[in-house]
Amino acid sequence: MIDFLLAPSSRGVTWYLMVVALAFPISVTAQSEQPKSAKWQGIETFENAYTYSGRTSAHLGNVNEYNHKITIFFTYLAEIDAQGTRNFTSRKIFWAAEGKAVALGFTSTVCKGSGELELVGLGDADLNDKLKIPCTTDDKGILAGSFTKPPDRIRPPEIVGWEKVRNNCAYSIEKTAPNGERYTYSVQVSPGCQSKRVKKVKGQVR
Amino acid sequence: MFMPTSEPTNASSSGSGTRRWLHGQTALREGGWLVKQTGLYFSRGVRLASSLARQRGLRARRGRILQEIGEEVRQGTVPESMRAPLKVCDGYDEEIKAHRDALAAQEPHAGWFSRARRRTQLLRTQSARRAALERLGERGISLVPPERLAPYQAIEADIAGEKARQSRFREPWRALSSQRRMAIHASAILVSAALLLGGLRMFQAPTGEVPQKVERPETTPSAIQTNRERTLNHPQEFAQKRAAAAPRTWLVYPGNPVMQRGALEDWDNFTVGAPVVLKEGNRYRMWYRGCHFIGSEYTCGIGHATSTDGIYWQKLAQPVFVPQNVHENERINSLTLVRAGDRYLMWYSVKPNHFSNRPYATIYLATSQDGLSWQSSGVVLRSVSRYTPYVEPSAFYDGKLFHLWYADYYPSDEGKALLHVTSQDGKHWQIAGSTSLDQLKASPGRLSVLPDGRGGYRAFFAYGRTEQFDAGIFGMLLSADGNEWQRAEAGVVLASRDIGNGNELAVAPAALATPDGLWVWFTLRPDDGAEEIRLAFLKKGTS
Repeated sequence: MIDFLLAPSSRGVTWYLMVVALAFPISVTAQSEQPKSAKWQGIETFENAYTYSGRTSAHLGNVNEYNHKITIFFTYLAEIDAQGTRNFTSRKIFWAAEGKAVALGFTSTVCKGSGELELVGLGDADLNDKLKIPCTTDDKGILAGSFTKPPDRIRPPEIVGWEKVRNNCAYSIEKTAPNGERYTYSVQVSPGCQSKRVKKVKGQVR
Repeated sequence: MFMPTSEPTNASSSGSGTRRWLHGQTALREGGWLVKQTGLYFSRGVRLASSLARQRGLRARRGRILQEIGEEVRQGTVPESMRAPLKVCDGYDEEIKAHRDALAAQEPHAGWFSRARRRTQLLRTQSARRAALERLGERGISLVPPERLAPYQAIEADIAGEKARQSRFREPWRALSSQRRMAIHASAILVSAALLLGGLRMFQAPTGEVPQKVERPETTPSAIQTNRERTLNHPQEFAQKRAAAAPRTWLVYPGNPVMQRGALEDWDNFTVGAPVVLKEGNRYRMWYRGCHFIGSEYTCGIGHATSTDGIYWQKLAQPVFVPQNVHENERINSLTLVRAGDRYLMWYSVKPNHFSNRPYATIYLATSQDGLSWQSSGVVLRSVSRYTPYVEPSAFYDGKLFHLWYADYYPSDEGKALLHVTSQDGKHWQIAGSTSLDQLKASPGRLSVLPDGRGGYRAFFAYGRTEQFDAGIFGMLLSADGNEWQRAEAGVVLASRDIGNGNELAVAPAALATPDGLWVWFTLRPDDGAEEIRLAFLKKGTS
């Protein structure tokens, strides 16, 4: 059993220690399945709202309004091959969008819609069609120039680079564009997040 | 259990009693021998293992010396006979680079098995490279000056000494017959098993109950976390620089940030910012906005931290205040706070939400006796204009009146102004005056208002994004009455490249006047929104 201690070579010591050190982790990993897939689940939002003055009715103040809000929930499943290449087997999104652009006395556009779809296997034509946000425009006067209109289609969220993911678990970002649009994106990755308990804010709620 | 190997002496003529006595004597002698040998077995085993470990360490040191020699040989002119091992080393270098490149290109998490295999290959190649370097070093020993070889020779002598010790331990064992060795093995196994069982029983709970895992309490104020290790010398370096700095010189704390967002599991895992700092006795207290953002949960609250030097801050594990309303806690934008006698008043601003029929930016009041336990008093102010994207109030208490300043579209939608509102109770406000931002030629965010010592005010602020590149990070406004403001003459500026990589935005400074200058904690907002709190210092001017 402990004969190695008195063996003429130290090689026995090395091998024994290696076997002991490796035996436990190997036995543990043998019981759990190697991760061969990953689930990316998250949310992406775009939001903006402002008013501006009309060109022919400046005395009325900021009568023109603009706003939009797009929320996209996404769940992507990826199979990982031996080389570590990621192949998406499923890319499901659920989106909801609303927006309004009113140039008082000239035109107003209202966009609103929602949808749920699986992106994998969808042809380009279908994809273009299903990512459209239904909009209606009501022109009242003679338009000279262009007015900003709410987005009329959504863009499926991208997966961030792995180097950005904190603790193999999550990544969140918030940006405000020069035009005031607030953008947020947050994604959680499984199985990376499975071992982590992400607490909710408790504190003193008043 | 053991088998006596010596035959009993021929005592049959003395009768069966004598034979039994002799057998007993033999068994006793053998037993004593076995006990002694078992003890020696363990003792020698331990000493041998210790010697082997030392030898391994010595070999590793010798290997490192040889590798160093090998590296030196690679750098110098190499004789023709050593070209081949040199090429081997070069080959391993290329192989290691290839493995590293491949690892970097792989997706680490997803390709777990592939990465593990690649890492193993990398480790194996690195090991082979070290061995090749050692061989090169051995060959290159003749090229090294004799004085460099002294440590190598000393290690060689030590290794030889260890080998001699090991031989001394092994010799008595080798002298034994195989039967004797078997007996000692068996005895050692029994002793080991007995020790193991005894040890296990010692560790069993005396009552037989399963020990319960003790969870760390999460909400107690004493559950604190240190934001930075205290092992760095930055505070001393900072103190020396402050003492030696010329008047009106900016210094940026070298150990920035002084507060970072928490871990993923923490309540402030996304941002910490908008600090407000008060000094009470020898203690600094900071209130800050912290946000938790993961998945669809975006919640902000007010955190609290304390410090004895203004540099190392200890955060409470949980926020001291989180508005109950989801709209509020999702959109807390900024905060300001004063101490008035024995109570604290905090005003926090909330961004509008046009999609929940809340088109105005609003300011809420919360009060506290200790700065830790807060009571909300609801909305006390709202922006003049719909669609004001946010307001960032700054508070001051002059002993009689509460003052708030913030930028809003006032008096109409035409342009923004720095509004001054006053209140006797912190709840009911009236407009006292305003200064157009066009007139100021600046678009300050949250001010940090301090008395100017002559009955007026000076307000410290961070310039807007485009202005920070031209005017520097911070500016100063001066006012005699709080209504009419003008920009102070620009002194030495702190450039954006001084506080970060030049792409971040500094916002929401909190200034604290000390006898030697102005301490300024501020929020640094990187491109991804993951704000942190940093520290800078403005040395007092001579005038």
